[in-house]
Amino acid sequence: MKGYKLTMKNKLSIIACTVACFTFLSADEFFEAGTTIGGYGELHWNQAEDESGEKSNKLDFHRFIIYYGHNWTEKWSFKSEVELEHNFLPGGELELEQAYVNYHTDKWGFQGGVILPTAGLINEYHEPPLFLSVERPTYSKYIMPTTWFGNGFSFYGKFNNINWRIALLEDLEGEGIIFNDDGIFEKGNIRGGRGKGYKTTAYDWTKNFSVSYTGINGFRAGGSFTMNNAPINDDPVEEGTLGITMFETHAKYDANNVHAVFEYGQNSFDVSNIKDVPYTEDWTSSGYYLDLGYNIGDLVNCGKLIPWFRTSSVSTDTESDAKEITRFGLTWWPINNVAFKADYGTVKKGTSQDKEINIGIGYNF
Amino acid sequence: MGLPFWGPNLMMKQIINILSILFILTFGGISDLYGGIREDVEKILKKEFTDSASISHQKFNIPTHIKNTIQFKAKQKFFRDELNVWTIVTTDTISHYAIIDNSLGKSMPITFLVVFTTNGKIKYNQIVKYREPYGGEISSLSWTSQFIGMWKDSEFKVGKTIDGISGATISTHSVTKGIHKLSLLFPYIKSQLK
Repeated sequence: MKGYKLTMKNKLSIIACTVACFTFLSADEFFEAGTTIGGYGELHWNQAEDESGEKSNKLDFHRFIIYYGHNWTEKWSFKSEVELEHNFLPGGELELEQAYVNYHTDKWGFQGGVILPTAGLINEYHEPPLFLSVERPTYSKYIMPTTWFGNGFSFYGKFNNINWRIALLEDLEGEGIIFNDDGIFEKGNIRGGRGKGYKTTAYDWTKNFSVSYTGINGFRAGGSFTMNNAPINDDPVEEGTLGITMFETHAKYDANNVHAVFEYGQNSFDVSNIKDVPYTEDWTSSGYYLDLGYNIGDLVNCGKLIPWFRTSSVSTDTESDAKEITRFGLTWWPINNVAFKADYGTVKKGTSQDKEINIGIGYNF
Repeated sequence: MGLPFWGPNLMMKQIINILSILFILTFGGISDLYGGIREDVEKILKKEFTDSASISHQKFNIPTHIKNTIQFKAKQKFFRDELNVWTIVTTDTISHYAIIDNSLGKSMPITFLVVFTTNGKIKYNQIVKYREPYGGEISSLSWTSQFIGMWKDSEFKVGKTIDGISGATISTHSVTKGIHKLSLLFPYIKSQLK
C-alpha cells in the first residue's frame, strides 16, 4: 500500500460494491426482487325494515382496496393497503389501512408501520370471499372492530403449530368511546376508539398479544388479549384515561365440506382515571357469533355453494338489552376469488325487531 | 471500466478488477454454487432416503411447447424455464425423481419440492421456503401429506380432495396448482432426465 491513498469517495465506492456483492451472493435463484399488486372489494344491496314498517334501500360499493407490496429481498419487504369506502369523498373514507416494512425469517418476523392488531378472526383475514355474509358480522363491528389498524410494530413467530404475535400500537382514543357525536358522555363501544393512524399518541401504547393453533387441516383456534389506557382528547394528564381491556377467543373449521366459525369477545372499560366524568360506573361489552354451513357445491356441480346459518348476540352495555341476531344465507364461489352472497336476518333488541335482506358480490386478487 | 472517479492508481485498478470479477461471478453463476435452497433440498432428500441412496442434481430446460401445454392445463406458470431436478438411485436403480419450483403466494414466491416415483406418483412433498408473514401453516406435514399418492390424473382441488387452511387461502390454492403442474410435467420429461 506504499504510496497509495484511498480517497473517501473511493472508500465509499468499494464499500458499496462489496455490500452489493454480498447482497447478490446471499440471494438465491428462487427469489427475484419485485412488486406485487392485489386488491379486494365488495358491492352491497341492503334492504331493511324496522318494526314500524319504515324501509331503507341502499346500493353501496362498500369497499375498494388496492394492495401494493414490494420485495427487496426474501427477508425484507414492504406491504400496504389503501381503501376507499363508499366510493366517494367526502362522505366515504380514504384510509391507509396497512403500510409496513416486514422482516421475515423461517422462525420469526417483524412488522413496523401501519399494521393490524390480531383481534378476532376477521380483522386480519377480511377479504370478502373469506366470510359468509354480505356484511361483516355485527360482532365484528362493535366487539372486535374491523378493520382495526394503527401505527405501531409487531413481532411474530411460529413454534410447531403454535403461532404467536405481540404488537404495540398507537393509543386508542378514549373520547371516541365515551362521548357521542354531540359531545355528551355516553357509554360507547370500542369501535369509536380506533385512531386509524391519524396523529395518534403513544403514551401507554396499545398492547396486543395473540396465539393461534393450526395443527389440524382446515382448523384454526386462538385468542387475543389487548389493553390500553386510552387518553381522553390526547391529554392523559389534564383529562385522564379510559382503561380498556379486550379479550377474544375463536375457532374456525373449514374442511370436509363443513364451514363452522365461532368467536366470543369481551371488552371492559374502566372510568376511574377519567377527570370530570359525570359517571363513575365501569361497564363491559361482549358478544359472540356462530356460523354453521355445509358446502353442497359438489351435489349441484357448481363450484363451492354454502347454505349457512348464523346466530349472534352483541351487547355494548351491560345495562341495556343485547342485539340478538339470526341470519340465514347462501354464498356461492364460482371461482375461489369471487363470492356471490345473499342473506336474510332479523335483529331483535328488547321488544323491537328489524328485518334485513342483503345481496352482495365480493372479490379479491 | 467506465468509472473515471476511481482514478488511475494501480492498486485501485486491482481492487476494481477483483470487485468486477466478483460481480461477473455473481451474475454468471456463482449464485448457483451458493445454493441455499439446493442445499436444503439435498438435506431433505438425504433424510427422506437412506444414506446408501445416490442423489444427483441436474438442471433441465423445459421445452417451450411442453411448458406452454402444462402451464395452460395447470393454470400456473413455471418460475423459470430451467428446472432443478434430482435423480435418486437406490440399489443401482433409479427409484425417484425430485423437482422444485416456485408458486406465488400473496406477494412472495413459495418454493416447494415434489418427489415422484418412476411411475409419476407423489412419494413426498414439502414446502422448502415460505417467505410471507401469513399463511405459513401450509408448511405443516399434515397439509403437505395430503398429496402423497396423487399423480397427473388425480383431482387437485382445494376444499374437495385437498383440505384448505383457514388464513392461508391464496397459498393453499397456489401450491396445490404448483404440485399439480409438476405432476402433469413429469411424464413429459421423465425419459429426458439423466
